[in-house]
Amino acid sequence: MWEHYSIFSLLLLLVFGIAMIIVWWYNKSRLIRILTEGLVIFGLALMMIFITLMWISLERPPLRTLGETRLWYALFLPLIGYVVLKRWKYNWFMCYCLVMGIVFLLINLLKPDIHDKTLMPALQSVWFVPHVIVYIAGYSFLGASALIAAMGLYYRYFIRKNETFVSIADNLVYGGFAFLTLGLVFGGLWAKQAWGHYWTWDPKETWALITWLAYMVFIHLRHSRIKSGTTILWILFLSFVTLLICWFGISYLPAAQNSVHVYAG
Amino acid sequence: MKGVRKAWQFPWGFRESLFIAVALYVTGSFIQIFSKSFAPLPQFPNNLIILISYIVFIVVVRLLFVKNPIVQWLSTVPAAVGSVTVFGVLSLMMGLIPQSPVALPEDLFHNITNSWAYFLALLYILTVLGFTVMKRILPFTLKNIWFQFNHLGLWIVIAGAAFGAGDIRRLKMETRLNEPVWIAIDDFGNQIEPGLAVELQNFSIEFYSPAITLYDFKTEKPVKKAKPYLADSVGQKIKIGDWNVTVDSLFKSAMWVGGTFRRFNGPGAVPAAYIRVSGSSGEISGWINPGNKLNPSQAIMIDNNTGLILQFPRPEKYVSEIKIYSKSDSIYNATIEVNSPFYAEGWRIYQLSFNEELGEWSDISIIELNRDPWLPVVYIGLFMMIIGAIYLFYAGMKKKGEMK
Repeated sequence: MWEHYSIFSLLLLLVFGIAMIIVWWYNKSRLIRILTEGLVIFGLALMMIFITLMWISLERPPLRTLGETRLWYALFLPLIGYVVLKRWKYNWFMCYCLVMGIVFLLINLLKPDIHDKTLMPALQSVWFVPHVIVYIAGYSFLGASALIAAMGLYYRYFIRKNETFVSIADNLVYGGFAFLTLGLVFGGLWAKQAWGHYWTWDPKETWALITWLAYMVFIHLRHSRIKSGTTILWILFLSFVTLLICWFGISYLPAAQNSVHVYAG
Repeated sequence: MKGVRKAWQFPWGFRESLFIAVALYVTGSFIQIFSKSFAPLPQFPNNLIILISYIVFIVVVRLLFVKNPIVQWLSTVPAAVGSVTVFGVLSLMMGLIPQSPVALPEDLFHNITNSWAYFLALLYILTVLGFTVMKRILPFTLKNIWFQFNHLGLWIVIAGAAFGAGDIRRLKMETRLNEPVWIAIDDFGNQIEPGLAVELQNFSIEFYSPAITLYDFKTEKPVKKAKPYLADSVGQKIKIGDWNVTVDSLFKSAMWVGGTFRRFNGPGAVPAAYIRVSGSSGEISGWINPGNKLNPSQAIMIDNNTGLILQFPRPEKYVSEIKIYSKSDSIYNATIEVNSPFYAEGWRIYQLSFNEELGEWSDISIIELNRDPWLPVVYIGLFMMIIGAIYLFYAGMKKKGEMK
């Protein structure tokens, strides 16, 4: 299936690319609105078909390598962008998400992964798919919230306007945090089945906990007196840095050389 | 905090919370250095007695001193943030510094989960979370119930895991074919009688096909750009890098006899493939196989540094059929494999490993006997957190985000 990826991805890049440009006139013209939504939905459907075909041809869920997970990000990010677009009409946010989706597709096109059918026994579990998918969804939400934090900081430092983007980040953080919680819990239930304990302080677990606690602090601060301001934007942004370390940074950490969570390939 | 209020003047805020966090860390470290000991890990029934007393303490203090500013402060956001932060910083240290369960108490950084600082941080977070739970138990509204799924759920998970840690037993047992074994070994190498005997009745492994891989003998790593292929049938034509490879002969299990490979099912066998490789510079053919003591490895060299090799197949699954005898004369027959343990008489029995040199001819199977009587407590908390997370997602979607 992977040998057809270039055709699929070029078509998707075209579809998402056009949508990314015309979405800027989304709130101005009805025709553009229909066209954008049509393109995004078509792109998402194409993405889903490709993932399904990959799944069938590999005879296992395409979730084992970083390249395979990038396919899911290219699906989830535009999906979240589309939901936000429908709900709050933020076309700039849709554009961000499409750009991110395009980046993930491009990385896979330019740096193809090794794909084989083998799946080690510990990964053969009913928990594999839900555990990884909720994390991908969570990371997509929180990645989107980090873009908002970056945008807010940019406005503060360079445009010197106090636009607070934090309140729309809230929705994304709530969604993302909920998925992180599910990811941690599913991971614990799976670990009990596979390794005999629900929590073993594997470096990936430790970093997933750090990430979870960072967003927990953000949510609690938003509940109290610190409602907005530069501090909260920085906390949101730095929380995403811990997430990035957890996601792929741990491969480079001395503490993580024996982690069972390193991606294959 | 507008600077009007002095430090430690009520109501306390973030400053005090973070100060307490730092003070707990310093205190914990001092206790550890001077006592040269790790934090206590109470076992049944002491852990249960301490936990119940602790719960009674929180409930009584909250009810009797509800107006006390410290009691009130314990259920505020600043207290929560302070306690989460100290716990987060300790986790960060664990994420950056390699941890070792055998590091000594004098070493504050390499065995953090056993340290006094970690113990006090846990106590801080449990106390703050406990008082917060008490504060929101009444009134019994829908909003508070959702709140409790997240907060009480987390409290139960942490309390169950922390107080139950002393009762966890993880023992390794080397089971042998048709021979009941009574003795298991703990993490420190002590021999322990778990009260169960286990007899291995059959052990089997299923393998994936072996992979033909382009290998760089200089860097001793597979060539990243070339995709490895599983050799699964004779006549298979594959493309590895710039080379066309045809599999002319394939044995999943073979032995090198008289200058060629012959099919052989038994200990010492290796997989082997006879392949033809053609590229711009001509055609080469020969056997490739991964090596062991009886069959030295063979590769087909394409240039000075790189060659095609056959890798040992990866196990797809390994299964032990076991018979378990208990002290009460019950006998259980079970099949265990990775991700699928068996539960009997309070023990979970896991497939761990086997004699890798003998592979599918292994006559032993290493299993784990695992006992965690507090697991149901932790699971109750985890399931509450699942419900809480679903609510959180729903609440997040309902919340109206806006740009000001």
